[in-house]
Amino acid sequence: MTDLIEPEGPDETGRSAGPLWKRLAWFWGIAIASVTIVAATAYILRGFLFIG
Amino acid sequence: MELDALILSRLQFAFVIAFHIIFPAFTIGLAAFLAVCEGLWLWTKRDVFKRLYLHWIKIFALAFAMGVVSGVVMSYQFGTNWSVFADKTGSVIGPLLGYEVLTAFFLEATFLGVMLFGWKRVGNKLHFIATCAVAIGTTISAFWILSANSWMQTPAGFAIDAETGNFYATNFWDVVFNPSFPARYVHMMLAAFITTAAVILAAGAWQVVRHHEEEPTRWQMRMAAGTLAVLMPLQIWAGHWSGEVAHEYQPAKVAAIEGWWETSEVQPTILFGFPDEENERNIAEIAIPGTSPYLFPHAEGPIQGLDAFAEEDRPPVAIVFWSFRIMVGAGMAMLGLGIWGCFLWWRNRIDKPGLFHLLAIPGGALGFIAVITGWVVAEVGRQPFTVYGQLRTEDSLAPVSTGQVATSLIIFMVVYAIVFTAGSIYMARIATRGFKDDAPEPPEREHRAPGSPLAAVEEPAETGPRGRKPAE
Repeated sequence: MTDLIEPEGPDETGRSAGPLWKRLAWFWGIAIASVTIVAATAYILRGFLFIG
Repeated sequence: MELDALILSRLQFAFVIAFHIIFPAFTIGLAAFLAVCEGLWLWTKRDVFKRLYLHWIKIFALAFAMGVVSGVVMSYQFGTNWSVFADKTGSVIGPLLGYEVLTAFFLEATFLGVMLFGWKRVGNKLHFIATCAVAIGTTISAFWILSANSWMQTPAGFAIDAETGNFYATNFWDVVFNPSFPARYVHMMLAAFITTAAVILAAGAWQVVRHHEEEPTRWQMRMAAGTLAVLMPLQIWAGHWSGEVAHEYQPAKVAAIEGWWETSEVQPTILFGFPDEENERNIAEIAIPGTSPYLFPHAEGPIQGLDAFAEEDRPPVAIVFWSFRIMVGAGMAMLGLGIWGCFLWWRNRIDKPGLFHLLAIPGGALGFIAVITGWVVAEVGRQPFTVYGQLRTEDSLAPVSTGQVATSLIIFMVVYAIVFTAGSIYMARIATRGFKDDAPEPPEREHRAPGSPLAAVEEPAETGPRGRKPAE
């Protein structure tokens, strides 16, 4: 069965995860993208209050 | 009972919050479980903990999303159905709900993305930080929500504007840490961990009964049974602590919980009975006499019964009385399952199908039953007030018509029935199907030329290449 969400597991190939700055950039990049989606959804929902 | 706008608005809020509380109660515990699994994986490097994490995070993400959707609906009702309450008390509880969104909800929503999609990109340590941030976010979320609700139970640190009748905070510290907050927060957090443990145990039991058990099944059942056995005694203590606070600040609620009609120096513990509100007595009562000095040792003077309060200031007795007993019964059943599960773990039989597993499967609902009935005790027991002793429920209602509320209630019931049934069935399918789908693919074996010395080493003696039996 294919799931709606397929979470990503850890990299176990033995390769290096990359330099710290790159990992931190991904960390904060995903975080900011997530918070932006949440904020946009919240403002859209808030907008419904002004309909009618 | 006439179904007017007030009753329908209360029914609608009760319906929506009963659905909503299922999801936060589950995700608070599940976030902690995920943090523990990932921490154990980092520490021990045992594959089983990573598999548990990747299995349960799918359910966590869905439960989180459904919790958000049902939570948004609830907060809107403050404006649509309870606008007078929002207007009068907004200066006090508005900031508490605002802090919940700013400090907790955003923390959870922000790092959930890293938890789900960032493991390879951010590395193990940063991913673990994200998981812990989400787990901490859920506890901070519960902190602010419990603080706001506890202020409605035991209001403190406020004054009322004589001109407008609006509440305003005089001491914000007292508002946040109002008298009932510490006990209720501990009680709710433990309830969340216990609820999650019961669900995880039930999912594992289902896998064992269906013979789908693998190593993660055994581990999740051990962890869940151990959690129930350890936390349930603490929960009994926390529940009693909460009851002692309620007895001091909301004696009418405790009188309804206990089924005490008459004020007396010493009160019994009523195990069962049918409260008869018209004649102010209990029918077919089974009671242990003289227990109040032990249950409420700090109480001074006579123990108030419901006769100490005017009829219009009493909560509905039967609902509170029975909800409390259902909650306690569900808790005791979970304690029994936890101890039994630990015994089977000790005897190395937790993964052998038996009566325990057949009982643990429906036992997965016990935590939710206890949480919902516990909240019924808290909220119905606070009636007929929204802010206990200060603002009556009938004075908190928005100017809405019966028809408007009836329509929105029907829409809620239909939409919730479809959306949440589909979501819950989907989560249950993932939870119960076992770990076979999640198992890593076995590495491709390189086959040597038949008859070569290396091929003889790789293939079992009784089989030929690729597992075929050699021709006889």
